[in-house]
Amino acid sequence: MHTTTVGSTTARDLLHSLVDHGYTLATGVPCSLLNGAFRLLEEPGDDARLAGLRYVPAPREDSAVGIASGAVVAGERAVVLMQNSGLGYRLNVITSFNLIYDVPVLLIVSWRGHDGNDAVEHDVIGAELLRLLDLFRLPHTVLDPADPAGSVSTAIDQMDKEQRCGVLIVREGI
Amino acid sequence: MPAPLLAPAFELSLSEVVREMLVRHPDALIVSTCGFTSRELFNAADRPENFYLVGSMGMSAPVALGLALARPERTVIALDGDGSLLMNLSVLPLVAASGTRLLHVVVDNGMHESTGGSPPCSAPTSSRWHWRRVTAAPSASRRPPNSVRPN
Repeated sequence: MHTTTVGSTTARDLLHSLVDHGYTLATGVPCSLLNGAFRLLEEPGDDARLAGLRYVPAPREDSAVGIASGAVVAGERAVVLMQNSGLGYRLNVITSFNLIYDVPVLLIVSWRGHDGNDAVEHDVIGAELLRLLDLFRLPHTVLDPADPAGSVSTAIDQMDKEQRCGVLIVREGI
Repeated sequence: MPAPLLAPAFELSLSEVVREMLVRHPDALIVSTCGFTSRELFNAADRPENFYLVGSMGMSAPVALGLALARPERTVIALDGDGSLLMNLSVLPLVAASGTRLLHVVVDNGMHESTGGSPPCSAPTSSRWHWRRVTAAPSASRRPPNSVRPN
């Protein structure tokens, strides 16, 4: 079952924090746990701080990582938002692009199936998410809904230090 | 009724396409797909504006799109093959809807040449047949095999 939605305030704070860190491009594939963030990316309204964060929807997670990688190669900061079910698709790009060309991209990944009490299709990947990230030495941190800015800073610091794709895991809906 | 499928008027080799592309777009940022395609680009002109993908098959267009979004003042080319495009056909609407002027060049030799010439789709129907069917529909990528023609 879905975990409790903590509200779009968290999503807005998270996106604002990305803008504060110089992020200019967001791409990804929607997930219901990230619904608040995707809504804001699609329709930022009069939120001037979000105006500088361009959003490009992608058909699949590997393409999203590809788009963000191209922007990073060009000197921009780009982020991918996605569900953990897309880990398989994107893993090839991470192993045969990002990790060989040293192009770190920030990934915000929802954690469906984290407690074994989600829809059945999330059980296997949900149980192994952290082990998979550890296997490829991708630094990760779980979003603290009470301090999204702090979590974003931690994830970016980890990524910059390791120079590998950093993963900010979203366990509760935002 | 679909439009009749016309055979190409002439054949272009990968090296001819690459050479012509470099003549027409000497300042372009080029992201080339893996295998012979990247090797051919390297052999034609190894230049700082080239980004050779040694892996990540199907990713030349998304990576090129990221570059094009970040550098709208530059000409950006995704140099693809039929096999790598078939591996990620969803890039077609992605690029078409992006609002960029990304040039997506697809060289269709009807095979995975770098791994021995196997057809991307089941024999005896070659992928070329599929391409002409696919590109007979209105799209942003009509006639990809002939998107670069000699003058």
